[in-house]
Amino acid sequence: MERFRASLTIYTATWLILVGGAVLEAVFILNRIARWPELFVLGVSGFQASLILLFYMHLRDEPTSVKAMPVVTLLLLIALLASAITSVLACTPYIPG
Amino acid sequence: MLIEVALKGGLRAWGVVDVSEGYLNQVSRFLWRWLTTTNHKDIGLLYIVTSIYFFLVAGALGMLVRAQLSKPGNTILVGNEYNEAVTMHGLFMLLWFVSPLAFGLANYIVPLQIGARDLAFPRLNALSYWLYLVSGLIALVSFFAPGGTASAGWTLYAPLTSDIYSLGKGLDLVGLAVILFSASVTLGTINFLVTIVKMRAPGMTWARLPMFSWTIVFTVLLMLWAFPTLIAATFLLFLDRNFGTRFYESPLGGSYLWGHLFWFFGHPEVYILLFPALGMIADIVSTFSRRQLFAKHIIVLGLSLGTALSFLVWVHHMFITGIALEIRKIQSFTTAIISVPFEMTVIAMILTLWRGRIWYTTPMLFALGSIFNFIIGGATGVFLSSVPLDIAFRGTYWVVGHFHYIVAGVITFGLMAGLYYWFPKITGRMYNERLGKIHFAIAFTSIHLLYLPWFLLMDMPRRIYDYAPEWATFNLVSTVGALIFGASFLLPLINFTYSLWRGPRASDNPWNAYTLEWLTTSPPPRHNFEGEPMITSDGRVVFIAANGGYSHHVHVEHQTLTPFGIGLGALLFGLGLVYSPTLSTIFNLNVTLLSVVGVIVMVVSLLKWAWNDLLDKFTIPEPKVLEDWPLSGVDKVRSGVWVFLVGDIFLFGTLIGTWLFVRTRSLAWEPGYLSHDITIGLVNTFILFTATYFYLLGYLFIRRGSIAGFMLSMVMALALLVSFLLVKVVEWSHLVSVGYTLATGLQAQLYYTLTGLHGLHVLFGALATAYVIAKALRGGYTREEHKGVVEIGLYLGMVEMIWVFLFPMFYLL
Ligand code: HEM
Ligand SMILES: [Cu+2]
Repeated sequence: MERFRASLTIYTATWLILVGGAVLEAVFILNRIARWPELFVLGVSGFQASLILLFYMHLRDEPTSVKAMPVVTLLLLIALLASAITSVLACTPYIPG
Repeated sequence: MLIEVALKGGLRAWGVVDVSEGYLNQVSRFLWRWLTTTNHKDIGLLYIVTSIYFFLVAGALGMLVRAQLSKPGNTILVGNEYNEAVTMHGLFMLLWFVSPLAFGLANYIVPLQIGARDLAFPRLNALSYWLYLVSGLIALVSFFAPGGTASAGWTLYAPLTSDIYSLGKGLDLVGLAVILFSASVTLGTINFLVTIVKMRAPGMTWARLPMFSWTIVFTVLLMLWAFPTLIAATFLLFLDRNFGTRFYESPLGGSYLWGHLFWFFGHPEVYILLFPALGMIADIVSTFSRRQLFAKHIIVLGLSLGTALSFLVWVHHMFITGIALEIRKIQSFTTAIISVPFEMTVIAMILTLWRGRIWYTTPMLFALGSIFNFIIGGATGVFLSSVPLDIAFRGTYWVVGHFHYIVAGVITFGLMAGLYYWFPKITGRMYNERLGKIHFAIAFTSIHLLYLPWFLLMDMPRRIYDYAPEWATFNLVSTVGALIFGASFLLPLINFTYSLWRGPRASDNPWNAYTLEWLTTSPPPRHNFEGEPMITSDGRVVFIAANGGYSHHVHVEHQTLTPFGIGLGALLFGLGLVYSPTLSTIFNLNVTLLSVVGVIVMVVSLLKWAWNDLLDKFTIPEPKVLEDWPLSGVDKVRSGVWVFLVGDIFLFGTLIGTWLFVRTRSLAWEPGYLSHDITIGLVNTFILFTATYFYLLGYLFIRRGSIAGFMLSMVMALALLVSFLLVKVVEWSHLVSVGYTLATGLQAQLYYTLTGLHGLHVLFGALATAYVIAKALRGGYTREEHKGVVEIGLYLGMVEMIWVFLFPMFYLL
């Protein structure tokens, strides 16, 4: 019984924050409140994704190895994206002018 | 008559003999046995035989190439024919021979080495095999497509792969084959990772895990991270060619995009090819020097370092592009560093040999030859890690020499060593030792004749079918070497075929080896061991009488046709792309009769699979293991789902990366474009969040034993998931009606691709939820027993997580 209540509270709170986050994003971007829209959005989405991972996907209850999987995934993706983007920004041959 | 004799011989060899039965009866029993098997040893054999077949195909293509290059002015293969042969030689060797042979052996041997009864997911294993076979067949068939097969080189560089330069449907078939192959690999990844982590016999600690099994762990980790990227990259290529998108054709860096995606897969891929062979060599060297492997823990450490680093070196394949110098410098450095673990491995093996009492058998000779070739192949690779040197060597025969020493000299030698080594275990017969040694002697001498001249041809460009007279001598030498090298592989074919029937009986442990697979009979019984193997703390192996729990009878009812059905459907679908009457055409894609039939066969098989699950037909009890760190407390299925999710995130990560890549080239982002209707986006976001929420509520209810609450929540979740899809349909049709189509530009192409793929994921989520409801209706879930519910929840969580990024990407920014 206790466990049911506690889980229900966690799920509901997460759901509220997730929905709130999406609305917040929209309001901030539409009204041009965010100074750096890309970073702002990345921050909110990253936060939402962590909530989903931790509370919806129960990552907090999983052993360390499972916890490590998303982290490693993230690091590898960042490596790919960072080099790809910097190399595009810095490369010359294909961009006219 | 001859065929009948051969068939009967085959039937006898595979143990399907019953003289009292009619001939036709035997054939159908034979087919039934192999089409429905899920036993890891059967599947291992299927893999081994199939991969050897593709080895012969690829080898024949290689010989043709060498024949053309034997002297200047030849006309055996000219122009595009030559390009096709080179391209398909590379693809067949790398994708359809090396890894499948390694995983055929792994399928057979790894469960034995770790003391398990089978892989964690036997049906998935069968599916892996059928997808592999089908992908190879589709690649083969592409040769006969009008316009020929792929000819852009195994790297499939853009824009050579655009429909301007690669006409016809041949390349599309190859692309489909690559995607199916990658799907097969990804399933295998999940299977092997979970098996090795969760199913080791009690006492088979990580420290005691044999090297071959260790290298399979690292290989599947690499595969898990690399192959989804290849799937995504090839998927975009498929869209480019069939749906008119221009991801790789865009003059604004499209070819860069392919380069990054391909090599982010491609460099890890070379280690994927290498690692299993290294593992075999390590086990073999240890066995035949009668010593434990020297500094095994350091080798394992080195390999894990190599695994991690291999994702940070791909730019060494792009040194002469205009990539920022800083990045080239960094990756030049990481490339130089990454050779260190391999040098350590080689040194450790040499130190194992030192003072060992060496027994020169055929497998040992191949292992030693492989180590020798590794020194040449590795050293020439280090030259290439230097940016200035690579600028000179790039695209020359030096590079081709470098990787052929590795792929043929190290990997193929290693695989041969493995085949000879485990032949007695697998067949119960000894091969002919003298013939094996002759094979080694010829292969080892001719391989240098074949490849050493290529280093001297360091100024000759690769991928040309005719050349200046000054390169004639070395090319002729190389072709002579190729003839001998190629012919030498007839010897093992003869040797193995003959020995299968006539070879002397092999004892259980003919090599006096230490690892667990040698402690069972040759060939092993269907359930692998009599009793439960267990390793005591002082390293002795004991077999505890098997009673109850995990008995070998589990396997008997484990036959199923569904994996084969899915493979067959995929094959028909692929063939239909070219060889069937067209029903209608969507963009450039022909929807044909055969393709439609293929899809139907696939769907029916999948439904049958789900139905079997619904009836709990194939549940295997969790094996008893004492040590399963680092996945302790996570059952097999949940472990598998987590591994799958990581792969799937890589798939989306690659596509999101593509979005970023295009976005940063602001020139390509159509100016003045308004983002999509935010209201629709918000509504759908709300729907998706709520759907997952209800699904999880259902999970809470079933844990509490409240079936009514469970059903209600699940129905809500399903309804919401379906609404999400409906909103999507409305949104898309509105966009199309106002002229926002794939032809609009890169932004639209990305939008449809990403949200479409995500929508497909939502669809699968809805189907899975429907499955849960159906099973619940049959009373399949109780408070105590509700396996699978939480796993589908994990999947839905991931689908939601991806949307969290897609929403701002397309609706806000
Ligand atoms: C260990 C197994 C290895 C395999 C299977 C392998 C395989 C390959 C392959 C297939 C290519 C050709 C790419 C192309 O089509 O252009 C290549 C190129 C290259 N390899 Fe290796 N390699 C291995 C080891 C190494 C090592 C140890 C190094 C360096 C320390 C290295 C450095 C390079 C570099 C820098 C290139 C790029 C050359 C170029 O295309 O210009 N490789 N390797
Ligand atoms: Cu590389």
